[in-house]
Amino acid sequence: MTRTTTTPRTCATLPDLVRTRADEAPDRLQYRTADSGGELTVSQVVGHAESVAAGLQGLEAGDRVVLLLPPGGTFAVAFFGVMFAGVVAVPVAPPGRTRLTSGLEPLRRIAADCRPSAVVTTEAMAEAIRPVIEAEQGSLTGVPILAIEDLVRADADAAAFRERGTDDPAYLQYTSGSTSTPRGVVITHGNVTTNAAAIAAAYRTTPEDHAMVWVPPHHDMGLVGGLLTPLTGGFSVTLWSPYQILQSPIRWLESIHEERVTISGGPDFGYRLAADRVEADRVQGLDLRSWRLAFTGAEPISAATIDAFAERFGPAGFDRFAFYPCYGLAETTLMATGGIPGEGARVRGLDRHMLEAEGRAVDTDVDADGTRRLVSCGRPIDADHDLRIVDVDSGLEQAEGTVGEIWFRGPSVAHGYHDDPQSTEVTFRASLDDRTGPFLRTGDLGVVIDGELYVTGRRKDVIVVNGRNIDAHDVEEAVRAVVDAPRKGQTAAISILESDRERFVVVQEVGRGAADEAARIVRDVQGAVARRFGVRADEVLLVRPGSVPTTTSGKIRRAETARLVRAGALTPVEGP
Amino acid sequence: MNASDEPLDQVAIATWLRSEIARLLEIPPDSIDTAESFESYGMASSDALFLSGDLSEYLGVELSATLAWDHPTIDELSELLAKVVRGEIEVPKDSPDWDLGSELFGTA
Repeated sequence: MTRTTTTPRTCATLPDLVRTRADEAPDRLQYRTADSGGELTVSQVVGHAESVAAGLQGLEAGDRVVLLLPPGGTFAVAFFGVMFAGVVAVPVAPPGRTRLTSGLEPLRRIAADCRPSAVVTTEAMAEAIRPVIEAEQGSLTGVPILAIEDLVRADADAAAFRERGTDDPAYLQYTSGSTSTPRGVVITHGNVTTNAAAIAAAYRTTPEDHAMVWVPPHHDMGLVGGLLTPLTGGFSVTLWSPYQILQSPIRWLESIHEERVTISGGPDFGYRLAADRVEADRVQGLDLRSWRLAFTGAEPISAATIDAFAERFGPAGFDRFAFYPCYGLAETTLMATGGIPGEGARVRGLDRHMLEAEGRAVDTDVDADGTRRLVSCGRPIDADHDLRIVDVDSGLEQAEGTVGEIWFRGPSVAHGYHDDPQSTEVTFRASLDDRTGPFLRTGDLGVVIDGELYVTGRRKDVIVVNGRNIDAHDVEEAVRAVVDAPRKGQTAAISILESDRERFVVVQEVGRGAADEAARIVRDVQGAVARRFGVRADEVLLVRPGSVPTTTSGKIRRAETARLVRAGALTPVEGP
Repeated sequence: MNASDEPLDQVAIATWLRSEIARLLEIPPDSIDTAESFESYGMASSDALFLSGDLSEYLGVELSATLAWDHPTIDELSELLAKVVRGEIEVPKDSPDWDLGSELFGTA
């Protein structure tokens, strides 16, 4: 039999990529939007995006354009329109309809950091947002709010496309909602075309693959994994909204069944949710045998989740060897390390005490007490990328089996943070003691065993909830604002990585007499966290004043607090 | 699902909501004030989505994903849903081009 499929050609910029694919297979389905059933071929993406570029005339090279759009083909068209216009895209999560004033807060903060020349959104959102922005003085004042419906009607022939090179920025990926320092990772055309090509190669994709992705496109996994990897690999993808999947996780599995999906995935919590919330009787009648690659990443991967999901959906033909654990962060575009398709998740039992107290990986019985089960995140995505485990105090590279900070370098690593040379220097320009570098310091801790990476913890003050990074300082600030002044003590927002999952704990010092009100204080803390971040802490621990460890200069020692909580060494204030 | 043939009234829906929210948020049911917003009890965005999914199953009608955001107290939500059950109003839908992945373009 003659093979007619050729490997899609590698491209150096995103405009080059989408035009090349349109030349190779103009009528191939590229993006299907589950919500509307709308479908776009590659050449339609190019055609509409050219109109959008024409509608965006008058911008300077390097200008930023915010994309405030729901997941789907519309987002893809707007994104490539911005690429054709030769300016920099800034994907931002759309606000909820009912609380626009507070819902626009992330956008305001990002706009203050990157000073966009325009915001592209839907007509309905534009109409709702404009009066809110006109009534305020702030980072969005004077920024034109453009409707994508208008932009696609522009005359594409009038567009003056601006050529961009491989080292020019393509988009800013904002990583956390930090108030003080929103960090926009500058992703170049070279970064993203390289990383998407490496992912497609690592997944061993063919044009016969069909993906289903519900991670939204303002998240790196949704943008690079959901929109750009399928385009790079020359296969189609159905795009869902995370709302639809979280409301009813069975839709994820039904979509895989109905569309014979071969590649799908998301953060660990998506798998956990599906295993927890899809009833056994709903599994009958599903056929998941087409699902050959189930990627999991963007937050700590739990062996318990993998077991639970495989057990629940095994009867429907889900192959547990389809699991594809991977590791990456916004600063590496998306994927830094990954496994081998068809090999599943390698789980290792390590002695918890040796790992946490001594920083050494010692194998133990996976089921024994005092064992921490860790999932292998595989190896660097290809030979151009290089991973080291480093002792941060000495800058010395650690031997296999010894815990240290994960450092990474290669063409997928971004050039830095937007307009933040200081953080860029610290994070992106690290050198080993022998001056090898520059490396990206990931802020994550890990250990390499038999050449494979196991992520063991985190140095940076970030809490990951449902694949989203939340800055610990921001949580503490939001909590302090609601805890009554007379008993205001230290607040520590910490993350505890356990075998089964990451736990988000808020430790709050309270004075004498607060015990009677413990329930109310806990509720106030949870309310503050929910209002500000839309998430809930796994635990709110009220403790006596002086319990939260601080440095001599009064800074909270979060890692030490986490260790004390883990050890049960912080005595909770007794409730009534 | 609703076991009896009687249409659910607001009180029954409010009772169901109270116990479901208490379970989701791991708090005592009687600590919930029906006029207070879900968020003030620490309800996360994902909890609000689960609630609308479970409500859809309970009532046997498809509800919008964002229902618990748009009607964020037990009083408000139970009143609205009682009207839906009695057939007085349509099931609230998501605005097609707002929260969800809508599409500007027709099929290929």
